[in-house]
Amino acid sequence: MNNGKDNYALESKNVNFFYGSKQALENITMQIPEKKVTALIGPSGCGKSTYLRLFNRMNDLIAGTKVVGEVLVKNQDIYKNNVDLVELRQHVGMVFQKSNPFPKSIFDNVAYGPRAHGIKSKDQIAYIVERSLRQAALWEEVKDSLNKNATALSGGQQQRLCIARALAVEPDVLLMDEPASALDPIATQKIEELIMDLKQNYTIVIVTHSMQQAARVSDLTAFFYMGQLIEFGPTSKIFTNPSNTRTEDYITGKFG
Amino acid sequence: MSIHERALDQDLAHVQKLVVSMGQKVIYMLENSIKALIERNSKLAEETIQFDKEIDRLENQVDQAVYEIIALRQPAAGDLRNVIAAIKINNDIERIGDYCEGICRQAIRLNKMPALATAKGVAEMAKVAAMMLNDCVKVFDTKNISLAKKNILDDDKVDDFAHMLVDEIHEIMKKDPKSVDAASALLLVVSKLERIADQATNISEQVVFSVTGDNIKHRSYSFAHGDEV
Repeated sequence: MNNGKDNYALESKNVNFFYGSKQALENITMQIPEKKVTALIGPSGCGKSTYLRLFNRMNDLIAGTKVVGEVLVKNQDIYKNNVDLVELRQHVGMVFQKSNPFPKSIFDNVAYGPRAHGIKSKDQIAYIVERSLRQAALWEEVKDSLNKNATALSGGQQQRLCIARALAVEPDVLLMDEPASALDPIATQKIEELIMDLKQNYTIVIVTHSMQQAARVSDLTAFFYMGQLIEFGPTSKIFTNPSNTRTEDYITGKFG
Repeated sequence: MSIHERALDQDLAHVQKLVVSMGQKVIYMLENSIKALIERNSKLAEETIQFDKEIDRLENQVDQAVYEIIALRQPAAGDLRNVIAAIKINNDIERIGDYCEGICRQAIRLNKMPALATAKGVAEMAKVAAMMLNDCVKVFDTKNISLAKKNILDDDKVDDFAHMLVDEIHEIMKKDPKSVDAASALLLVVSKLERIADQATNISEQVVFSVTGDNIKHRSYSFAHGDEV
């Protein structure tokens, strides 16, 4: 697939990012491996969400932004001119902090992506909807009410619906921007268990403000501070014996 | 962003204080155990056995404090290593208290029998073990890694004493079967002193882990010999 090169799902090489004249990311070089959960942590404004959104070009939606450097998805630079954004976002799905179901039925929410990608067969759509809802651990709770409006679901169910919706187009990568920060502990636990399940088949990058959540769900942790990548390594190392004192000070709550 | 004092810092300082105080109390216990043995003072031995209850009480206090820190403060990284080390050192110190108690029980037995000449060698060995105990408590209190290394290397001296004394005591037993009761009591004392020295090195190893994150157990000798810090 990639000529014997290392299997990184996502990679950035010397990436600098600007909001107008304000630089939000400085020289970020990082390789995110396939089928692992990578957590991005750091104080507010450190650049972690900006970094996450580079990988499906969500930052493009903000006027005056500029990317310098290479951002690679499966070894392809996604900021080259010829990149098809629809195709990119099919490969790299995203789940946001606030669940954002369409004001449609549960079924139509999940069917939306496959239909938009041209799948017309009703049987096939129904199959994809069920598979996606099962993958998102929501099927058992909604299988008898697929025509109910999605906005009637609880917050935790809505978030899992958004995950199902993202999975319906069969992405390789899921970007999650604080996916459980608005949820209660039980709904949070369900999302975390789901993340652990999904990593069998997907590469997951999660931004979280909860250090404990990063410790619980991720294989690798990256600590960002003031636009710089301070430390990136196995989560078990970062949370027991980080190399950098700024990482240690942050995860032990010594600064903030 | 600035470094600030956390509630956790106070909790950790509290545990540190408890463990150091426990360490000082077992130092006192060991001194009295040796004194009771050498001076054939059974009353002091009895008092020292009673004193072990204080060590047990402190052990429970440290355990409770550490459980609460883990449950309520969720320590990570250096803080986590610090509390893990504290709970293990707590256990080591409590065990040293038990060994002191054991020495006192043998001292009481020995005091009812004629003295053996080897007791002098045991007193020499006890001095080194006591020094090691002093040092490891100091290592814990001050996080002094070079002293930890010295402490780990000193264990050899105690081991050498132990081998020598065990041989000597066996000879005495062979030559004079009537000495078997006293000699076997003395063997137990030697073995407990040897274990105390081992526990002291365990404590130094835990401090190295707590400070550096490097688990040097089962290779502490090469660590102490090398020039790693």
